[in-house]
Formats: sequence, C-alpha cells, structure tokens
Amino acid sequence: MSDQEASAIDRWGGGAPDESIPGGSIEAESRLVPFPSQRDEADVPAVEPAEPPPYSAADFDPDSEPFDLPGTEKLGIVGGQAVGKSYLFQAMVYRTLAGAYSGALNYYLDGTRLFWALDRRERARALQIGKFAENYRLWERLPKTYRSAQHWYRLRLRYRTGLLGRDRAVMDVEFFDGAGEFFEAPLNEANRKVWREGYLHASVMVFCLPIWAAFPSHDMSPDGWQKREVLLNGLEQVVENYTDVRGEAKQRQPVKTILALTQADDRRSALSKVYDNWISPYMDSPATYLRQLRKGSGVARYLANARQVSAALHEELLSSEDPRVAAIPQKLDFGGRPWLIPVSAIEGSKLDQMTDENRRPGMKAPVPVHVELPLLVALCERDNALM
Amino acid sequence: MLEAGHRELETEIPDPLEASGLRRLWTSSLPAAALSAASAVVFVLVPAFLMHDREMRELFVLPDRLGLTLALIAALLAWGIVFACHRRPGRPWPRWWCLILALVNTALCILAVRFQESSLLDALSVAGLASVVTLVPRLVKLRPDSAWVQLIAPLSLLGVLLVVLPAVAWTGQRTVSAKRAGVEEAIDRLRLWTTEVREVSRLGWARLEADPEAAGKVVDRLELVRPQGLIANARLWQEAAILGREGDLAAAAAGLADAAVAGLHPDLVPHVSTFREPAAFWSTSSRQWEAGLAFPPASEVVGRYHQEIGRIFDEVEPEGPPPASRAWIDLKQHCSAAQETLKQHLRSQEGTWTDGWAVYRVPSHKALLGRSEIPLVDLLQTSMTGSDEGLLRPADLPNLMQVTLHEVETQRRFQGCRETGRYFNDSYQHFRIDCYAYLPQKRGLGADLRVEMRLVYVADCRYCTLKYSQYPKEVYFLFPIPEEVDSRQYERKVMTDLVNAVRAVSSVPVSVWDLSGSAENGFRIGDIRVNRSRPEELPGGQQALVVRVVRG
Repeated sequence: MSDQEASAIDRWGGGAPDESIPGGSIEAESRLVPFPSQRDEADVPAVEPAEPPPYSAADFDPDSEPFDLPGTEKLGIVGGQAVGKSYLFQAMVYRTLAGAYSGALNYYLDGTRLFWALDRRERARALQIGKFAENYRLWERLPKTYRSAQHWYRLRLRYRTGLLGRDRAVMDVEFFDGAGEFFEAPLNEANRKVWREGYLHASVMVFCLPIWAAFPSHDMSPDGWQKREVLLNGLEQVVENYTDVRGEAKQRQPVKTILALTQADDRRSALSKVYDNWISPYMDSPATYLRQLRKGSGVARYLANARQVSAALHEELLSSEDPRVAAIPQKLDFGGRPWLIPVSAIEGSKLDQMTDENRRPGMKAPVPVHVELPLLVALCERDNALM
Repeated sequence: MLEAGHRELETEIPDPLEASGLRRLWTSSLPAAALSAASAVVFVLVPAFLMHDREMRELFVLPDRLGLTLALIAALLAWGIVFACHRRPGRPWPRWWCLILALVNTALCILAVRFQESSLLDALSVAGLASVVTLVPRLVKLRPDSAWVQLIAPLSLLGVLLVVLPAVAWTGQRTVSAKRAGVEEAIDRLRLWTTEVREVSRLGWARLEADPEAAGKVVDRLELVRPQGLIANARLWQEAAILGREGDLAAAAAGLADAAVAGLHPDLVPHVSTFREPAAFWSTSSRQWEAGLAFPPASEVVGRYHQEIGRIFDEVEPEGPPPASRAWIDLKQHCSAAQETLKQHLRSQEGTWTDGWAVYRVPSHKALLGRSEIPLVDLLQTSMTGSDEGLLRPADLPNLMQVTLHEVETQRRFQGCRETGRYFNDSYQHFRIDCYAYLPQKRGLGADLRVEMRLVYVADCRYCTLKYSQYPKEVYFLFPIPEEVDSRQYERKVMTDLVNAVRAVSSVPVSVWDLSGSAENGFRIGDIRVNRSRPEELPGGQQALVVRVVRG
C-alpha cells in the first residue's frame, strides 16, 4: 500500500485493507475513492475537508485489468485551476454514454466502458459508467480535485471494424484527473513523473482555458479580471511545463493540440456570436443536432463548421490586445496548428442556481456541447477514422 | 477604472449544422463514404462513356493484353486498400464497396485471361482501375480540422475523371483508327495478293526449262501470299462489319479466290509437256539411258506452282463457324461456286497424258477429284493428242499401229512427246516419238517417270530412208518399277491394267495365251502381239518393265 493510499484511508476513514486486493478491500477502496471534488477557490478551505466517498462496492464491475496497457491512446487534458478539466471529462464520458445521441462520435461508436485506477501501476477497475455520470446528470457540483485525490481513468470506446464491419475493436483513451495546481506547479520531482507518464507520449493534448479568460467582455467584474489573470498565468505555466517535459525527453513527435475554450456558455465572454450561433442553438435543442449527427452528412457539415469556427477564433486570438492571448496559437504549436474548440461541459448559470430543493430525479439533464470533438480527434489520430 | 475587454471581429460564425449551396454538396458525407461514392460514380461513368458509341463499344480493345495488366494493378491496389482500411472504425458501406471493387477487379483479371480481345472487359478494366485510383486517397491520414475533409472526395472524383475520360477517349479513338487502318490494310493486302497471283500466273513459262531457278523465284512470290491469317480472323470480320467495310473485305478475298482458280486453268499452268528433255530418255547417240538434267528442278517448279496456287485458294475459302458477318457468308458461297470451276480445271488437266500428275500437288486434290493418283488403267486411256477429234490413247494399240510417220513428223499431234529425228541404228534408219507420263515424286515436289510409250519407225531396208507412209514397227512401253513395290506383283498388275485398258478402248477382241487367263505374259489383239520384254535399268539403278507391241 502506498503512502498516498494510506493517507487517503486516514482521511476518509475505513477498516483494515484486504491485502488480497491491490489497493485494499473493495469497501476500503470505496472509501479510498472520493469523487474528484472541485469548488470555487473562494469556497476552498485551507485544509481539504473530509467528504463521504460517493462509490461503494456496487459501483464497480468485477472486471479488472492492468491500467498500463500497450496501444492505449493517450489524451492529455491539462490546464490550470478551475478551468473545467474534470467537468470536461465528465461531459465527454456522459456524451459517449448516450449511444445514438453521442454526437459526432455516434457515427463510429458501438459502446463504451470506463476504468479507474489510483495509480498507473495498479490494476484498473471497471466503473459502472452510469454511476460515474450520475452526479453530472443530477447537476451535482463536482468537488475540486485535490492533489491527494488524483485519479487515472481509461475510457474504452468500442467500434465496428473488419472487412464486413462485423468485428469489434476498441480504442482506449487515458485521462488523468489531476488538480489544477498540480499542473500549474513548476516541474519538480513529484509532478515530473506524472507529466512524463501521462502526457509525454500523448498523441492529442487538450489545453483548457475558459473562453471568457481569452476574450473577456468589457463589462466583466473586477473579481473576474483577477481570476482571468490567474487563469492566463496558469495556462502559461502548464504550457511551459509540457514544453519542458518534451524538451527534456527530446520528444520531437508532432502532437495534435486542441485549445478547449471551456465555459463557452459563460456570458462573460466577449464573443457573443460564438455563443449565439455555435453554443446556444445546440444547448437549447440538442435533439435536433444529435439526430443530424447520427448521419455521415451531419458529421461532415459539423466538422466543416467546426473548422470555420476554429479559423475565426484564430483570428480573434491574433487580434487580441493581450500579448499572452495573441501568443497562444504559437505556444500551442507542437507540430501543427492547434484546433480551437469552444465547449460547454455544463451550463454554468443553471448549475449555480441548482440546490437540493430544486434538484429532483427526472429533471432535464445537462447538455454537453461540442465536448466529444477531442475524442473524435483521438480516434482519427490512431485509426484515421474519417478515411 | 474598467479594464478594456476584447473587441469581437466581424467574422461569420456558423450554426453547427449549417450548410448551403456548394458547401452542402461538399459536406454531404464523410470522406470515406464520399470517396466510395465517387469511386462508384467513376466505375459507372467510364464504361458508359466508352460504350455510348457503337464503334467504341465494339472496337475498344487494348493492345498487348493491357486490359489484363490494368485489371491486375487495380486488383492489387484495391486489396491493398481493403487491408489498409479494414481495421478503421466507421459504417459498413465504404468497406463493402472497397471489398466489392477488389473482388470485381480480381474477377476481371481471371476473365481477361480467359477471354482476350473483349471490348467490354477492357472497358471494365479501365473503369476498375480508375475507380480504385479514386479510392486511393483513403490511404491518406486526415484530421477532423483539415480542409481536405470536405474537398478530398470531389477533388479525387474530378481529378480522376479529368485524367481518365480524355485518356480513354484518346485511346478509344486511336484504337478505332488502328482497327480501321487494320481493316483497310487487310483489304489492300488481299488486293495486292490478287494482283500478284494474276501476274505470276500470266507470266508465261516459256523459259521454265531453260532457267528453272528464275522460274522458281517467280513461284517464291506465291509463298508470300498467306490469306489464312486474315480470312480466319473472326475479329477482323467483326471489325470490318462494324466499320462498314465487310463488303470490301469479302470482295477482295473473292477476287483472290478467283485469281487462284484462274491460275490453275490448264492453259495458264506450267507444263512438263513443253519440256524438250524428259525425266529420262534413251539416247540415240550414246545408246544408253540418260537422265534429263533440267527436268527435276523444272518439274519441281511445276509442282510447287500447283501446290501454292491450290494452297492460296484453300486459305481463302472460309472455314469454321461464321463470325457475325453477312459478307463472310457471301464469301463462303462465292468460294463454293469457284470451287466447281477449279474442279473442272483440275479434271481437264488430270485427263492429259503428260501433265495430269501436277493436279495431285494441289493440296485439296483428294476432296476435289476424289483420288490422289490416276490408276494406270485410266492413264493408258487418256489422250496423247489433246483433242476429242482424232483421239489417240496409249491403250488404243490397233490405232497406234496405224499412225503413219507423216502424221507424226508433220502434224505434231502428240503432246508431251519427244521426237528423236531420223537416225541410223544397225544400218537401218529409225524414227521414234517418245511420249512420257509422270507421277508426283514421293520425296520432293517434282515428277517421276511413270510410263514411257514409244512409236518406233524402222526403214524396210538397210540404208534406206523411212517413208512417210510407214507404220510403226513397234509400240514400246516402259514402266519404271517403284522402289517400295514388289517387282513381280507390279509387273503382273501392269500387264493386267494394260490388257484392261486395251479392252476398254478397242473393239478388237483381245486374247491371252496364258491358260490361266492372266495377261502377265502377254496377249494378242487382232494381229498385234503384246509381250513383256527384257527389263531395262534406268539412270539411278531403277528397274523398268518393258512391253513391246508388234504385229505378227
């Protein structure tokens, strides 16, 4: 048992671990596996509070396998604090869960599974994917991800293949749900290992930055401006860390980079047309779009428009008066022009209004908007899915 | 103080599924499906383009098995794409189309080996390759944010069509032009051959015996006339029919057939009967048998001539199942009619004493005449004088013994005979006319001596001169015995044939003095005795049976 696990047991409570199961007993594990938590910085106490673990033994399937498997596609989702990494991953998983309504992935997908591990060297446990997405579906605010509760996930996407399309193949996508301050911290012995293991060989890197931080509206509050500084500095440090890790390993392999402009539903963004044309229609009537995206013609049009939006956002970045923002495309060029995708993992305004009183089963679920595009990129990167 | 915010640019931001105009067309499907659709369009368009014109439809045949090569390349490329793409995610239609294309091209390879020169298969081979080339961009790695996602399929379709259709049109036009030229060339060649045959057959053979080598070179020209390759070429007839030239082709072939038939007219063929020197003769000066030195090469020229002209006619005559050509059928009917004329020519020549052997050099003589050799009994009944009036036949012994010297020396009625002129032998003046009949050589194309018949005139007294009114002292027959035949059996047969021939042509009773009834030892007809005499040895050691016919 690692120190981290022991620390987690101490923090969350629980019985003696079952030595026969790597990482401890299932019950102990369930106590070891707190749901990644995220709160606004203002609400974060100085000491990480103890929360009841959201998973029990029933949340896991009996399957387990080594986490570190050869041939796994690494999808790096990185960013500073409070940029929405965890929400983005939650939204991605939720979107793949939807089957016929998986958006641009529906054309390819034939099922998904989700695996979890505390450490890469451990065996990955198969999570019941519905349980994983339950809190998201019920508009539960995710707790802040702390360094002590960082997890590895592997999302297994199954698709049809073979000469006649009757076989099945899988693509495994790794995701490290890490704390923002972990990524923002300068490279040290502790985080360098994770950077190397998780991201050095990633074929697709998703850098997260809230859209309003890149394109603030002129009427943003002073508090918002302050948060913006933190977010921009955080992105800069994250990009620097990644660059340094690549440099140290003399890694010259080109990487497909995506700048996920998260929280694209936030009205603090100056790009009203992006919200009005690209985000809001989808969020307001998702069924219309998801129905079209089941067909190849829908996906083709969607990708053409996404490319047009990315080109427009490149122009917007270059026209920014803030040199840190204008330099983003160049900094994210690791062998190719980055793809800029405005995404909305969950409607922030509704999330803020959600309370225990107005939360009820059967209520309309959140609508993740454009979150599956990075997964599509990963699928194309490995298997040339479009061709 | 408020911070300055970002000023949004005036840029169009589309709806996630917005598409209009041409953009709608370019975004109608993902690249794999779009390329597959483009490939299918190419596979339909290319053969449709090739087959829209009747001439192209029938004549678009690629040279040198190029169709097989294209189908092979297409099949290999298609299977390469199948295996490169079969592990990719996506809907089944693109992978099914690629598999179908690979199977179709593989089938085309097999069919191209089995059926050569098929315009449909060649058109499908071109279409198959173009279709596979349209799919080749599937091997390119394409990211979702690439502009090629929308452009790759239409560009591939346009690119392939812009290259393939003009290339196919150009190739098709060239092929049709080449076919047209081929048909014209075939017609011209047949006409040229017709002229050649007519020229050779009308050259005249006056110098054949004097210069057989030169005459042989003339006959060599006939060996270059080879119409079989054209007449038997069903494809040529089909192409001529499609191009509207089958009538001319058939007319040219018919002209050649007619020239060949005319070339075997008895008046035009070379005759050994015109030679001064026979195959072998008894020399009055040396008083021994001598071989005619000029005869073998000269008779070979005669044999070759008959063989070549006969071959040419055989090759012009169409055989086998008819191609889809009315003119071919007309040609066959024309040749059937011409064959009757040919038969008449050959029969006429077969009925001559000296030149009849040559008809058996014509390759189809057995089909035309029903035999490969004239029986001796019939040969002895053929005329030596060549006209129905005053017919003289070797078997007509009573009449032969009545032919005066005057008739022989002045009237020159005998064909293929050689006069010795008057000479003295043992103080008696002699005159002979030696007449030769031949048969085809077993080895070589010339003639061997079959029968020599002499009319021998002898003066009544020593140192007297012959009188014009004199009759032959004897009729002398020489029958060379073939090497592979038993001499006794041959002699018996010769005498039997001779007596039968004599009986056939003469009304004078014939009697044999052998009690068995066999004429082997001789026979009598009226006051004429026919006896076997001492055999002769000819030049080269061949033995010959001698039969003498005398009065008394």
